[in-house]
Amino acid sequence: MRKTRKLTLMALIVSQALVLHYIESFIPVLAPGAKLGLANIMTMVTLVLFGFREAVLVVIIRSVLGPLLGGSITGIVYSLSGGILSGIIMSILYLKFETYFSLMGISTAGAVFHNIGQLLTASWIFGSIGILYTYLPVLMLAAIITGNFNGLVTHYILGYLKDRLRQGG
Amino acid sequence: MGIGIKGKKLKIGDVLVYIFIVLLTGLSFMGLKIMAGQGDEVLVQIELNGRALESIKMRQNWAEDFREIRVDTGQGGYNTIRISSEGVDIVDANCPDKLCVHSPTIKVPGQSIVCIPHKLMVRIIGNSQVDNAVDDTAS
Repeated sequence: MRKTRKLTLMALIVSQALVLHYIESFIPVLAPGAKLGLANIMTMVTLVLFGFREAVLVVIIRSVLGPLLGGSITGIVYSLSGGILSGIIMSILYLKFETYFSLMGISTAGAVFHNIGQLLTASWIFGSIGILYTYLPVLMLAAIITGNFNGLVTHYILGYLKDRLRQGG
Repeated sequence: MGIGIKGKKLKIGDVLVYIFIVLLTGLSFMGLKIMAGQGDEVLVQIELNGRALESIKMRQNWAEDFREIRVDTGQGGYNTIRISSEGVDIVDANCPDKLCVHSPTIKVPGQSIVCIPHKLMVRIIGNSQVDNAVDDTAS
């Protein structure tokens, strides 16, 4: 893929991730702290199309710009810690163990580690590990649902994108 | 393309992800049990920026300790905490996400409610971990 083309695609992916991040703040969720994590769809698309470095780059840009769009500055620390941890885990699962995991499994693992990253950060900031185990069970349940949904969406997007991208050269 | 079909099937690794989730959930409940401690002395502790603002020793009958505390978190921020026979709950706050208000009521030692934007935490401490809690906040 040519450099300009890659740059344009990455920029598009980041802006789509940001829009998803913004839209999901209007969607009510059952549990406090649980999120749909729609932006994770774009992280996975990047991971499959480009690879590890690009996926983490998308996560970092989205995590810094997302809270500026809607939310508080303190959100950046939580977005970054959750996003980077889940990005690394998903990359390892996809790039090293792809034969053993479906996209839904990878996405669910990503959601789980996103929550773990954020809760560990909160536990560290507040100086109490209690936060981790109080919020973890309900967030795990949410992660199963959102993770499978996001994985399925990624699967369909990739099926469509792969053909289109080939046509474009 | 290939990805289209093979991405959807459940694979062995996915099962591992679910086992991992179940294990983590079990560990969380165990952590809650361990941190809960024994004894009937229960403290409700309100912490701001990691320092204890208030520690309320609860009586056997929680209804006797009914109160509403409005905590001023600085820069115009506030959280209103209600202690009733139901347990401890944050009933009102002016933080941007309102996650603390939507958090469920807590009553078991070890549980906590946090308001991340206001750096406020309310937690219930059981008898056996009271000393630890003091150490935590002193550091």
